[in-house]
Amino acid sequence: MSQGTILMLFLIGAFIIAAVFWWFWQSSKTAAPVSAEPLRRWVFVGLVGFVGIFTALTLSRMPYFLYASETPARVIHVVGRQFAFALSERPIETDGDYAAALGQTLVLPLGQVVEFRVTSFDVNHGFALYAPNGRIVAQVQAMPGYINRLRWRFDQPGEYIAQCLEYCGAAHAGMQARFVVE
Amino acid sequence: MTALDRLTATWIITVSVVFPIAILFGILMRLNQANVLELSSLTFYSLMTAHGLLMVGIWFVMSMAGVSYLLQRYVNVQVWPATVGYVLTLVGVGLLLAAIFGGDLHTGWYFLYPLPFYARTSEWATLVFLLSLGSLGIGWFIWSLGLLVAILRRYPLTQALAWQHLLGKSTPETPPFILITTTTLLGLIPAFIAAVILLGLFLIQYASGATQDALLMKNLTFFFGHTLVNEMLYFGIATLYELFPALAGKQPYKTKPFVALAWNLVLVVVWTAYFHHLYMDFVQPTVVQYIGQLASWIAPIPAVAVTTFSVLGTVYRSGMKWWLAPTFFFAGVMFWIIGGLGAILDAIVANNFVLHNTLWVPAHFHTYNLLGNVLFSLGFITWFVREKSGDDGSRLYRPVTTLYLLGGVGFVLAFYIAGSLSVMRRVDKYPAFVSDGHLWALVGGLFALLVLAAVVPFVIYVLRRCWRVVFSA
Repeated sequence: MSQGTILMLFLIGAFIIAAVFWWFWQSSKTAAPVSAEPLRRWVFVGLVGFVGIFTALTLSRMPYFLYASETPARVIHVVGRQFAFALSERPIETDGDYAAALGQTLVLPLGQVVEFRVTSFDVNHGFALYAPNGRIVAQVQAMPGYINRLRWRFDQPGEYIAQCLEYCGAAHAGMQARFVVE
Repeated sequence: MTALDRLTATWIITVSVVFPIAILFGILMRLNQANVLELSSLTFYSLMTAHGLLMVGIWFVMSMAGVSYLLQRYVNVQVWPATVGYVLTLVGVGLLLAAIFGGDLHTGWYFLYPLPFYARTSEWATLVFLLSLGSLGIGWFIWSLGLLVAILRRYPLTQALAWQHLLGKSTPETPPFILITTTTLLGLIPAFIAAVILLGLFLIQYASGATQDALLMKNLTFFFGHTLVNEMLYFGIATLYELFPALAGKQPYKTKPFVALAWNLVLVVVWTAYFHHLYMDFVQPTVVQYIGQLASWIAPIPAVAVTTFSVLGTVYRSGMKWWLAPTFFFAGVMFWIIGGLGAILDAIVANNFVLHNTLWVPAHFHTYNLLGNVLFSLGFITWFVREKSGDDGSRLYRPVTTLYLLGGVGFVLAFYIAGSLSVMRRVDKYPAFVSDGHLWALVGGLFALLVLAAVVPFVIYVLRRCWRVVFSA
């Protein structure tokens, strides 16, 4: 689902919930002995059914298996450190590797699978990919001691920004890296 | 007035004083993000840390204080565990504020290992911060244990968990308040244990420099933080179950078999829902991610289905009188569900892939806290004030409810819209490529001012009356 679709679903749902509560609020202005007890079982069954269907529909769309059967065209090593990301086609294992990779602007292929191997040299960071239209298309955490693998196929050319999305200290807001897709 | 009356009034006074200050911190943050103010990064993140810790802290203790007070209807509640809880909370908050404003602590209310060791915080402040969390944790643990022991002296555990109702028997009767309070208190114990382990591991590194496993620490952090906040909501629900039927002029709720089933399910499911905080850690075992989504979706069913149905059924053609307390409870349930909708949309892994750590997150947690859990506690507070003073605050009813709800809705809506536009959370200034952030920060900040305008006169009304309870003969 796109972010816009999620917002629309939320607003529609919130409106329906608010309308139901409003209707019951209005009904409270008159008094009559009634019991809604027989309805309770059906509400419960309905909710379980809704959750079951929705879960079944969405559980299969996990980002962990994206393009799992394909061989990535490029492998990019990513290291986060307060307060910059270093991206390189070579493994970044030392401070020297990190310093050498900083500030490079990689060019990644359009329409082909790229694998990002993401880690951190200090604290937790979030590695979020912002498309040229300013929307997040994918993200993964950068965690010290672990390598998270994120596969993505870019379908929009232009300049992308990798922005830190996990609060990592006073200069967190400016922690970025840039790369170009063409 | 009894000792418990005075202690409860003292809690209310403390919480009421801190609440507007913590709101003000939040407003300063939003106005800084809107470029209306110019705070330094350290000041912004210190305010963010204080705002989060104070808000979670005061509303957790207030929900506990409400439950402690109402529990005396069923069992003999000893005052000393709650008093220990109060003293250690004050000590903890004092240390915390010293670390934040004296030592530039700016790690956020929940902080991910090993951030405290890499932040520009004074060395002493990190230690004081960890000690303050220890003080809060120990105080709340003793208080929780005191309540649990009080319940178990009167009800055997199986009865407190209403297992006889689960099997279809109608006697002996377990009131829903006892059932929900027991499941909530039991649910908290593992969270406190996780916090102790977490703090111990932090202190080991502080003392010896031995590093810890970042994934384990993250799991412990969210197991504690998520469970604490979740259980806080359930304390609020327990209060609602106890007070709402009487406020509507109806008979008390009874524990039916599905009510018993629902809350017993909640007890277990609540411990696994926290996995959704780690969806973007792809190295976490995938089966755990599946459990996270399933638990996040299953957890609200029992509570929402049972509570909503009960509340709507109670209101329907009741002819009830609406004043501050029932209105707060009723609106609280509505926004609790709306916030829950925002939360479960984010708890779908595929959605979290584009929403994680955007403003969608504070959007939903402010919906079920500011407009949900806080309202449950405000419902208890206004009920308590009327019990003790006879004043139901009728003069405040329209202005306070209108300003609070209008301000709250506008405030969270600005978060939702900005979150859907990929504006990130927890940044002092927005990068140029998310320029939408400034506008929605301004909108959110202005609406939050309306909330503050509602809270200030409400707090004055509450303080005057609770003061008399504390110092009455």
